Amino acid sequence: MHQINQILKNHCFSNLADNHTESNVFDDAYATDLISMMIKHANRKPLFITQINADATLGIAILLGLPGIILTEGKVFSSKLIRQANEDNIAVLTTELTAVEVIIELVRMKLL
Amino acid sequence: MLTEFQIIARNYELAGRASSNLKKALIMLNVSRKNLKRICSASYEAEINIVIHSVGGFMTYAFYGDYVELNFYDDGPGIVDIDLAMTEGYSTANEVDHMNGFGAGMGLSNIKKSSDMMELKSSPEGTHLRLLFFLEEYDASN
Repeated sequence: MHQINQILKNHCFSNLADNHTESNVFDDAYATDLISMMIKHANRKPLFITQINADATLGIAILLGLPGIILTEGKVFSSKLIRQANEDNIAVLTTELTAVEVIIELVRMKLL
Repeated sequence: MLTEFQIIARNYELAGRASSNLKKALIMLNVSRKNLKRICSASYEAEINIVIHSVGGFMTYAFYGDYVELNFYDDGPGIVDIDLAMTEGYSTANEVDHMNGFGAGMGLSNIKKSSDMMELKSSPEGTHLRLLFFLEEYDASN
């Protein structure tokens, strides 16, 4: 298990949600731009890595009780979605990296 | 008690509202995390199917002690070939659906895997999906 704040030690990532979400723990990560694929593979407590910054991304994270989302390629959530993420205690990280680069960074940091 | 939720076609902002409400109700009933995840996953997939593929519909849920029953109804246009629709990867979603993260062609197969019983009936007038989840049996075997 790792905490979201361990990812934030890497300057490539920033958290759009409140600080309290940074203590959320994760034990896996899955990168996809398809909600159904995330549903299929959300067996543990994975981070959801995607460039889809739509309502559905947060919606499924809430339903599945995911610890956090990493929005890739500079994508961000609207302020409305950020408020919702804070209410449901879901970290929302953003990065300029691609999904593949995010995975490489997480492995390099020994978080995966 | 039967609870009913309207599902509006093409409204991505409200998509998932019914499943969120269902989740809150399941939490209040102290349903296990594993059951919670599979029931909500199936409910969300079914709800999204109505949003992106139909002209609109509704869902109902009810608790019967040791099992949960979900029903999803829409007003068409129906599924032409159910066997094909059940095939993983087959999708008739459009570009807008893809931009919202939908259209993997995994919806019905995810629903079938998540539920303990699935009945699907469809005609041009509409589709009815009935799902059952046996709570204690699943907890005991997982």
